[in-house]
Parts: sequence; C-alpha cells; structure tokens
Amino acid sequence: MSGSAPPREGPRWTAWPRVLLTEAVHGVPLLVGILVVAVSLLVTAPQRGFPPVWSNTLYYGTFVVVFVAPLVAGGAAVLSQQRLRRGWLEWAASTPRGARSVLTTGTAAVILWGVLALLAGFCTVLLSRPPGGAPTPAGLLLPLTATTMVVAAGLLGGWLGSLTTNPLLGPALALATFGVPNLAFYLRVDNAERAWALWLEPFPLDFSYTAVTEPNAPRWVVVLTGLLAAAVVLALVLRGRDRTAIVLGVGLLGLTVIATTQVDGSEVVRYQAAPTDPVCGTSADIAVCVWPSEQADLPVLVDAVDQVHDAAVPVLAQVPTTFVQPGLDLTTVPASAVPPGLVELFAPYDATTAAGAAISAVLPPPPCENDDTAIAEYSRVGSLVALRAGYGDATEDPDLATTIGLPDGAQRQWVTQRLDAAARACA
Amino acid sequence: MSQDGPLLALHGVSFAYGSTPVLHDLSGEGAGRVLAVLGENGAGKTTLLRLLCSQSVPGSGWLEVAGWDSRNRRGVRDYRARLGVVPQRLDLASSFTCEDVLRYACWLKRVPTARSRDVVATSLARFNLSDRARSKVSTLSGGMRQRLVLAQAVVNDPDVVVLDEPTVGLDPKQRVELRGYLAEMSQSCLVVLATHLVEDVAALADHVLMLEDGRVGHWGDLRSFCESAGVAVAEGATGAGPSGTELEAAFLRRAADRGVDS
Repeated sequence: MSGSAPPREGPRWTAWPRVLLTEAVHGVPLLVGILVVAVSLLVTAPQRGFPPVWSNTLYYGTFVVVFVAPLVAGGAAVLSQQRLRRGWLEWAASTPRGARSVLTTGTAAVILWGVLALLAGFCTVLLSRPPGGAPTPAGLLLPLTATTMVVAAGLLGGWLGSLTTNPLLGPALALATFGVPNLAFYLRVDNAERAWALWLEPFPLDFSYTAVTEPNAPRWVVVLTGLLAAAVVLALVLRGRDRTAIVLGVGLLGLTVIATTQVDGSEVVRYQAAPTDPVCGTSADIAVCVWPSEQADLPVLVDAVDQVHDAAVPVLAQVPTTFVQPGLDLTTVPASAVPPGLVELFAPYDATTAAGAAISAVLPPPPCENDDTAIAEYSRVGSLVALRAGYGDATEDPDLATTIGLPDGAQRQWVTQRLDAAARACA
Repeated sequence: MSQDGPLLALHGVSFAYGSTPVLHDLSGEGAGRVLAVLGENGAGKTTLLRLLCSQSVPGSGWLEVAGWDSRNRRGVRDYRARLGVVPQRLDLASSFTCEDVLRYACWLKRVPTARSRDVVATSLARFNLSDRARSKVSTLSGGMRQRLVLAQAVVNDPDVVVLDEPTVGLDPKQRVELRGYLAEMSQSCLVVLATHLVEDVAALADHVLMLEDGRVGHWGDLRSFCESAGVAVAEGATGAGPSGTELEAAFLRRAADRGVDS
C-alpha cells in the first residue's frame, strides 16, 4: 500500500468518450436512442412541398425537436431513477468523481442520442430535397436552438430523476414537455395578447418563425452562441465539481427561454434567393409559378387558385392574376398589373390545403398584425372568400351567413366595410 | 502501509439524520488488517461505513482513515482515489460486460487511461473472471457478480476497502470462496467489514468494533471481545483466535446483558 494517491499518467479526459460510448449503447440510453432516431426519421421522411432552400431544410430538419426533446427528458429521468434505485449513486459517491458523475454521464448519453436524432432528421431532409445556395449565418439559429432544447430537456430530466424514484416521473415529464408547449401555442394563437403563454412554451411549435422565411436575427445568433460558449467554458472550469451540471442546466434553460421569447416573428424577412427556372401553370384567368421541385403538384394548385380567384374577383377591388411561391425571381414570371400573390403552400398538396393557401394569396396585405379587431375583420373577409369558393362554414358568424346570401355588389360593399374597419383599428 | 497515524481512529464522532441521532461520541483507534463492524440492526453500522467512505460528514468530531483526516475536505478526492467500496446493494447494469463494469470503475476512480487496460485484465484474473471478460452481467451467477463487485472495488489498488454485508445472499460455498478473496485483499490493504455473520468475523477479522445503540460497545481484537463478554477462549493448537462458536456466544451474551432480544 502506498498511502498516497496513485500517480495520474496522461490526460484524464481521454477515458470519458469511451465511457460515454459504453453508456450510449446499453440499457435506457440505447432504448431512447432507437426511439428518437426512429421518430425523427418518421417525422422528416414524408416532408415535402416546400421550396428547397436552406431555411426550410433547417426548419424541417430540426422541427423534430418537439418530439425528440420530450423523449430525451423522460428517458433521462428514467435513467437517473434507475441509478438511484440500484445503488449507483452510493457507489460513485465514494469515488473521486462523486455521485453526480454517474448521473451526468448517463444523461449525456441520452442527450447524445437526442442530438443524433436531430442530425438524422436534418440529413433526411437534406438528402431528400437538396437545397440551393448556402445557409446564412442567421439560419444557424434553428439548429442551435433545437440542440439547446435537447440538452436542456436532458439535464432537466436527469436532475428531476435524481430527486425521486416515482415511476410516473418519466412518462409525466415527457408528456408535460410535449403538452405544455402545445397548450401555450394554442393559447398564443387564440389570443395574441396572452404574452405569458410564451413563457410556457420552452419548445415552440413554430420556432417563432415559419418555414419559407429566413430568420433575420443575427444578433440573437451572436447572443445565443456567446451564451452557449460561456456555459461550456463554465462547465469546463467547474469540471468534476457537483455544481457543473446545475450551472450548465440553468444556463441552457436560460438560453432556451431567451431563444423562444425574444426571437419573434418580427425578426424575419422573406428569403431572397432566386432560382433560375420557375415552373408555371395557367388557366384562362391566372398563372401560378412554383419551384421546379413542385412541378408535379402544379395542376392541383392551379385548379384551386383558379377556383378561389373566380370567387374573389366579384368582391375584392384588386385580385392578382399571377401567383408565385416565395423566393422566385419575379422577373421571370408572367407580367401582371396587380402584384403577384404569394402562395405559401406546404405538404400535403391536396385541394383544401391549396385553396387555403390561395385564399391568403388573393387577399390584400393585412393593414397591421398586432390588433385583434383588425385581425378579426380581416379574417372575416378571408372567410367570405372561402365560402364563395365552396370552403368553410358560416354557422358561427350570423353576419357572414347573411352576407353570403346577398348579391355580389352587396358582398363587395360588406368587404370594403370590413377592410376599412380593419384599417381604422390599426390606425 | 506507510503512514504516521493509526489506520483508523475516531475522535468523538457523532452523527444524526435530521433530529434523529444515530452515532454518539464514537472514539477509539486501531484496526488490525480486517476490522469487523458488528451490531444489531439499527446500531449504526451502515452510517459509520458511510462516514468511513466519505459519503457523509460527522456532525461533530472527526475521523482518520489511512492518513486522511475527515476535517480536510480538500483531501477527500485523494482519499477516495485510495478507497474501495462494496455497497450493500449495487445492481450493476445487466447489459454491461465485465470489462465494461471495470472500465467504468476505472473512470470513476480516475485510474489513468494508460493503465486501465492492464488494471481491468489484472482485476479480472485476480477474481477468476478472465474467461467471463466479455460476458454480460446478466449471464453471471450470484457468486460471479459478487466477485465482479469486489473486483471493481480494487481497480485503483486501494489502501482501504469498505464492505457492507458482502456475503448476504450467497450460498455457503460462495461465502467460503469470497472469504478467500477478502483474506487475500487484506494482505495489501485495510479491510473494514460490516456483517451480521459471526462466522465471517471468525474467519476473517482480527479486530472487532461492536456498535451498541450508536455507541462503541467494544473495540479491540477478537480475544478481548470474547473476554469482555465473559466468554473464555480455548487455546487452539495453532494459537488461532476465538472460534465462531465463541464469538457467537460473546455476541449473544453482550446482547443479553443489555437486555436485547436477539
């Protein structure tokens, strides 16, 4: 017996990747890994119907985080509970690395699978619809946020699992992680004034900006990257101490809150990339131009837009005759007196979806986006056009039900009143 | 062991879980090579072991183990690097192989990466598990699992090994086998063993720390333990210590003297 600590030969950190790998291919982490990768592939494989630009590739590739993060949270909780029950914490507590080491390594293995699942989803989208051009630095916000969410979810689960052995924790945490953002999303959609709903939405369903748009938030990329780097540096400084996981977890949760509450829709701009060869389809009255990748679905889209166009012309002052998907070079599409309507169309390409996109495209731009009264009045115009085109239901709006039965001239007058009311509300 | 102080010394050690006191002013020193911690259920054996394993800190007083002073919290990592522990309950990951378990233990104990391969192989050989290196834990018998738990405790070549009821659940043949391994371990380090089984004490220990209601009832060699209970120790031909029967008699008599129904 030496009576002193064994000499430390070589770098201490080299053993950790191997331990992490061992953890990842056994037990709960492996089961979670199989599940999240399968879910990721199932969710991303059918994605289609969007212009293959980097913003969309990144969006659809990382959207799976809304499914992956809950599974990572639940899996990490179950693994920590298992270790608590099986005496691993007591075992590790008498070693130099301490009790938390078996929790953090196990949690890291689960998180690793979560990040791999994101990568799998991203690669699936990338390979099935190779994007043109190059991603912008601002586009990195999506994968950065998604990765942060997975790490934060894993740390949260791992930490909660170390506090209780209640078998309901894992499933409850997974459900809550999935359900709370859904609830917050619908609260927020129903009433834009419910800003507090944002705080319930750690995993935003729409990432606060939609597909076919590019985040114009480079400053947030800088902020998030900086905070992430700071958290990592702090974790390295505190490496091996009990506070590491707590500091890192709190830091990443803070990042998530910032990312989801501060990067909002007002930060986005239209993607400006221009393809060289849009594909157009025409009817007697209209032309629809889409990305070459959407050519197969063009007939359905032309029929739907034509139907909506015919329904809108008698009641709207100006209706576009040319409709384009966002991002097309407008100099290459048929000229029209009225500015082209933007058709934002996502899979699936059925008639109803296409009609919904067409209705949005025929309406004039909304006078503003932050007034409930204006939004309501504007929406009623869209509802009238939908009814005229054979879609929708007027039973919930008696005024609309009456209006749809009036002659075209009276309906046109009603539409003008609604749009004027919306403009006044915005003013 | 090259060190100045005693292998084990307690200086007025007390401990309580919340408002429930468990250990009361434990003092004494000396351990021999194998120290058996005896006592009835609830006497404080596991709590004392937790203190020896640096998992808990005394509420008052301090302890010294193999040169580590519990008041020196900064030195706890170095102490843990010289410590091996066999917990009362340790369910190893059933899908891990024996090598995986020992490599994991090497990582926990900061065994240098360059040495870990040799350490794993040596530990497997030491506990007769070389041919099961790639076997999953789920395929091992109870005795093999317990040997694997012993092997993980010594991958860091410890100065002190603490075992909490290591023979529980083993059949007689496995217990005898395990005692052999523990006896071999005691040649190179201090073994502290909490047990209910007097036969284990007789076969392994040279010192006994008897806990009675959280207090030191007796701390000394086996002969003095028997004599303290008024049990005469027959002189064997080889000069060996008390037999299991004599130890059991001493244990029961002490309990009877205290009015405890064993």
